Amino acid sequence: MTASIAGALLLIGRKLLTAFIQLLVIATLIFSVMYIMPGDPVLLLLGADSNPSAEAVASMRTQLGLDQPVISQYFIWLWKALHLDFGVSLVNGYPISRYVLANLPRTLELAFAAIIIATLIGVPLGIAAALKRGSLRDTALTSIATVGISVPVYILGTLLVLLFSLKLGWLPASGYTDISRNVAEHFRKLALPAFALGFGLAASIARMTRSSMLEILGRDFVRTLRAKGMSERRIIWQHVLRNAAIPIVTIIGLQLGNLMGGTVLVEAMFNWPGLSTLLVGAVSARNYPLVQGSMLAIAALFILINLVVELLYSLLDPRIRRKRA
Amino acid sequence: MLEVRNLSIAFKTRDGLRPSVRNIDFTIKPGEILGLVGESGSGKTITSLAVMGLLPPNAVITSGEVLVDGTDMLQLGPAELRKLRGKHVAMVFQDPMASLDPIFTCGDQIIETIRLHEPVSKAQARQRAIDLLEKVRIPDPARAMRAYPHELSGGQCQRIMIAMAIACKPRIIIADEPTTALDVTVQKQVLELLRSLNEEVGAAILLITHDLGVIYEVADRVVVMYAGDKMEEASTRDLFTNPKSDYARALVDSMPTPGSHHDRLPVIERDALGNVRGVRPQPRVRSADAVPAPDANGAPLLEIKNLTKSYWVKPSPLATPVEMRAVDGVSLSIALRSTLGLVGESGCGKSTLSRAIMRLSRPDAGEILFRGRDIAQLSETEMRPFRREIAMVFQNPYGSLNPRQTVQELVEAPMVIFREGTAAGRRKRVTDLLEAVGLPSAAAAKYPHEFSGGQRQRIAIARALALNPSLVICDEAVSALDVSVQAQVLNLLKDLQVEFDLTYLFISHDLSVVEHISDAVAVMQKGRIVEYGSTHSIFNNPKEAYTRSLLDAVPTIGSERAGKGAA
Repeated sequence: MTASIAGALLLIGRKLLTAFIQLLVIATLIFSVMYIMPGDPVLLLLGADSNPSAEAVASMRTQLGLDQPVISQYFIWLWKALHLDFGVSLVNGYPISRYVLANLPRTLELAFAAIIIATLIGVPLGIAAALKRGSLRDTALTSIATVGISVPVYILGTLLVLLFSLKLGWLPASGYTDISRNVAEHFRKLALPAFALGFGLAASIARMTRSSMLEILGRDFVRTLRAKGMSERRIIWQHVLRNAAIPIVTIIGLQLGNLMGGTVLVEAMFNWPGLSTLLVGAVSARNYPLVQGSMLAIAALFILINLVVELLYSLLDPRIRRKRA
Repeated sequence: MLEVRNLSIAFKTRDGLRPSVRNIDFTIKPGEILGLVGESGSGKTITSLAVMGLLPPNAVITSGEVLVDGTDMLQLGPAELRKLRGKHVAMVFQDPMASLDPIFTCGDQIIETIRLHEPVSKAQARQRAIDLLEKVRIPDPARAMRAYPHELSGGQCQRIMIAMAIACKPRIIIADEPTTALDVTVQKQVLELLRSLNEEVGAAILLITHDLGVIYEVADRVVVMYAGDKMEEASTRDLFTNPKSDYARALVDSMPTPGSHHDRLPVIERDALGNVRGVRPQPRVRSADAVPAPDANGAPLLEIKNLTKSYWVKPSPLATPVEMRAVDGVSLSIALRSTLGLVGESGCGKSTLSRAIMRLSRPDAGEILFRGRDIAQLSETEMRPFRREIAMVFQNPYGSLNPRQTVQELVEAPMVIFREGTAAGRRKRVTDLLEAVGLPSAAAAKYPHEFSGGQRQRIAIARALALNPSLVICDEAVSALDVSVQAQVLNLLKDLQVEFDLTYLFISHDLSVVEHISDAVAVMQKGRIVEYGSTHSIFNNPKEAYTRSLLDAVPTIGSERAGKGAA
């Protein structure tokens, strides 16, 4: 027993280390991109139109640490980033970390709401289709799923707003209300963006659930369970679904990249003040430290969710748990 | 207690119903072991699934009754059937590893079975599960309770399956090929276990198998099926000494058995009227002047000296890797135009050895002398000329042929790789090869799925011969085939050996097959050759205890047949 616990800890430790290295590589890329990009943040900060004096420029450079060699700039930046210090906003001097910490939970919430919605829609539909393979119901569900995968988020979002806010008036079209101020309003405003973001994923999950269920239903052990006298319902819920869950979790993990990409559009469309909104705003204002900080936060979030998915795998499949450790 | 009356089953196809089982009758009495024997496609498994009410959706029962203690299973609704399954009639399947749910522990799966049918607490069920595991003689039952199926061996998984089957003290156990996936020594243990449980628990057993040896060891009575028809029902002794139907006689004859020496095995043929009979084909002969003179110096074609190949494995997640010697100082030699049989149980290193000889992996130490030249450490380029000299035939005829290539493309592939001949020349060569392995030239345009298992193995053999190799490694080449098809392929291999001057390394777990085909035999255990000598000396006078235990484990019908031969 201790050996398996030690094995599990070792597995988690190894995954954390990998995640850290991934983050380090991304941080380096982000730093390089910002360094290579044209435009001088100092001039921007002082206002290029006001023709700042050479001294003013030089002192600003020193203040921002831009007079140092690139390598030391990089390490200073990295060291500070490790302590969650991404510098201050060039626009108003607020610490970047405060912006990031304020917006990160909102993106996280949006992403998780989307995953939950997608799972709640996708898994039951997939099961329904698999149990009546080849029937009208199966064909209909599979076709809807195909459409769902192909519809771009911005079209679906627009349709949702048209239907649910403008026509029916059930839900607000956009915006954000903090949960501490009005719980009901918070979730009403979360509903449409989360649904728009999760719909494509729901379709992928439904298809994966269907094919995974069909594959598992054909396995020998299902016949054993029937021969044991177990009811079909219990076979499905207790055994088949748990086995089928492994590829379903995989597809959720793989689709996360799309999901994070989707947040850029969804946040902009529904005016959701998350990380992507922060990033887009920072890019247009050339607020370099903010761009770096929010990009790093998005990357970290992506890696974190992937880490959770991988650990979930091991929890679901004893074969991976013992083999990989 | 189990009575199958006039049972007919058909499959729904686009052309209407295609019968698969016709008017089968049999009964099992309490405490009896009834063997149901037949080759693939004979309908034996379908019959057993019908008894359990587990037929696939495209199968329909067209007539008959399945009476379990007087109740017709075929008339019961799903809920009533479920109550009988597992409780009254239990089943043990062929592939034990795949028949257990991979993500639940073995203990949980047994507990689940008990609690499905009996209102006991989880703790009580757990205790009973441990008792059951002791009863099926699993080493360390506590560990087996915690283990997942993939952490146990095939034999242990089958014990778990048997424990599950007897958990609710069923009256009837249906065992469908329960030992086919297991090694001989493990098979022997499992059969002994079934036999003793049958006496102890008193359950009747319906034992389904294609292996006559297994039937001979444990069954009281036998039903022989062929192509959906019952050919014969007899007591086991009568079947083997005095089979009444032609098919049963042919089937008994086509088994290679220790002690019987014939050049060719009888094969089962069906004449124009649909009657089956056993025919012993004549060996193909070559005119005397075409036979090459024996090598003057008598040098072996292949000589292996002290060959070693290790894998590094971690015994537990935190341990440092330890060396696992898959092949440990093996020395062997194979004379030109002879056959060396290599026997051993799964995991003994047979396949690693054959891969090393093929140079699909690089051995750690030792020499592989092929016609006197050491190929053990040659580079890929230096190895190339030797590649055409050594060919291989694999076990699974379904997996080793690319389903998207025609037979023409499959068989000519080695020639294409070695840029040999023109397209027309290769076509001619493929036709010749197909003829040599007994397939019509029209086969060239077809795809592998259009052939049976035995025919596919013929295609694989034709491909192996494409470049005129001198050494052919047959890795369990007949293990996946039915007895009568196995006999045909073994005859073919012998014919081809004469015709193409082939030397065989014949790897198999089946001792009777090895005895039939080999001139010399090497017995392998845990990476080492424990015994090596002429076939006659190994089988008649084994020196090592391990060889003896292997020979003892082979279900033998030799004594009965010897008696028959003398009469």
